[in-house]
Amino acid sequence: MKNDDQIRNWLEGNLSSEELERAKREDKDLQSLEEIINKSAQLSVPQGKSKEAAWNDFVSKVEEKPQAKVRRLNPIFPIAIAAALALAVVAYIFVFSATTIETAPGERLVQNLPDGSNVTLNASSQLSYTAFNWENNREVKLTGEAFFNVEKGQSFSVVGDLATITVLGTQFNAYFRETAEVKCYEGSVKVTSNKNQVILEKGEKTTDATEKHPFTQENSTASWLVGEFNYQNEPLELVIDELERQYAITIQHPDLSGRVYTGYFNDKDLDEALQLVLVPMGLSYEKNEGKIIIK
Amino acid sequence: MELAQFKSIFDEYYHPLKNFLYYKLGDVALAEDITQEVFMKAWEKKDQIVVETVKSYLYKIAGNLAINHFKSAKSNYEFELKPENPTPSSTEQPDYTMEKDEFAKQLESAIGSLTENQRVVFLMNRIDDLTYKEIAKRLDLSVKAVEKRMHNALEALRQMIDHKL
Repeated sequence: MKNDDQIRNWLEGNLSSEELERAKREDKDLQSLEEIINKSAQLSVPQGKSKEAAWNDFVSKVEEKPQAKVRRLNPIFPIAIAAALALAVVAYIFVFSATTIETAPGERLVQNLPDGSNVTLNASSQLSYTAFNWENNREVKLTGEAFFNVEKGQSFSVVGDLATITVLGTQFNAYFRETAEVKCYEGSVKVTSNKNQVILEKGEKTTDATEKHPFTQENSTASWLVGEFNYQNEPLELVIDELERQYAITIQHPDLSGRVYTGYFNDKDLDEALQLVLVPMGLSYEKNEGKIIIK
Repeated sequence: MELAQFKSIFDEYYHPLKNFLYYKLGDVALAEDITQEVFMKAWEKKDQIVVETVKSYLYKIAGNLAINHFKSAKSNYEFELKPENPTPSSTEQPDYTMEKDEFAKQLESAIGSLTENQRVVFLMNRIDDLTYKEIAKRLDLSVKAVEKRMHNALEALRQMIDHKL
């Protein structure tokens, strides 16, 4: 509508009285609105309570509100506490308690450690460590046999019943069973046992932490990692134990102490492995109800 | 946002909001209660308040809360009458009110017969002295829409008053 702009100026108080008079003369519509517009400007909303009183009411409501809020949250609270506790327990288990990994006979397992080091566990072995503060306290407990590939860093320890190995960053094999044998494949490792201490360089091994001997290193890692087992003048009973572990079998045998074995077997075929170990030693075997009986 | 900062918002918008709710509902006590509620809700959201947009936010809350209440008896608006040519400070709290003349009574009842949208826009201008642009901002409307409502309000008022005369 053409006079809307004029009305707007009028209602917003932007017309001088002269302008208004002229506008009213030109437009009779505006004239008829004058009384409405003027009178309505005199209206006011009935007074209720004052703004100050309203503010005081508001403040007192705001101040009691937080308690009301807490009360409303109450039903959730026990659940939240329980959840937090459960989380704490889980976190505790994960962070502070030891991680233990175990292999069954016939099983091998690679375990990554928190710093990227890794361990390959041979059959029938157990390894445990605490992930908490790992970077500053790299220590694992080992029973059985494991090959370690250790990232450079703070000292890394392998603790066994018979010996402790301390390294900085290297690859080595720890055989912690009836005897403790350590073979170093890279860098150097320190082996301590009963106050004895020996430092092994690459290609050296020790069984008593006193003397070190070279060993034939055909690969950069322990051959058992690929399922191959090489022996040089090894007690035959230990070799038979290894057969039991690799094939998850039980082998009954007469007293073989004092006999040593030099040779090889792998984990692919039980009969072949048994023959490779027993025939050169002049022994024979038979299978009976899942057991191997050596004569 | 601190309470002190919030008070300046309260001071600025308490009366306009209460009036706005009165235009919608025609009940001063109810308008006051809802205005309290508006500020309570705004306070709960105080951390999200942006000063630039707080007014349309407040009016939106007020509008939403008003929906839950019915306008009291139709056309039963009662206004007070301020003296002509009031001093600016008396727009909010007049020192005294005038006896309502015949025309004021007619106007009052005609205002009650406007549609809610017309009445709100008309009175936000006439009573709260807000420009079209300011009304548009507060109600989240275009200025054109305000203008249209105002136009219709004036047209309706003139017709109602003419017929009675």
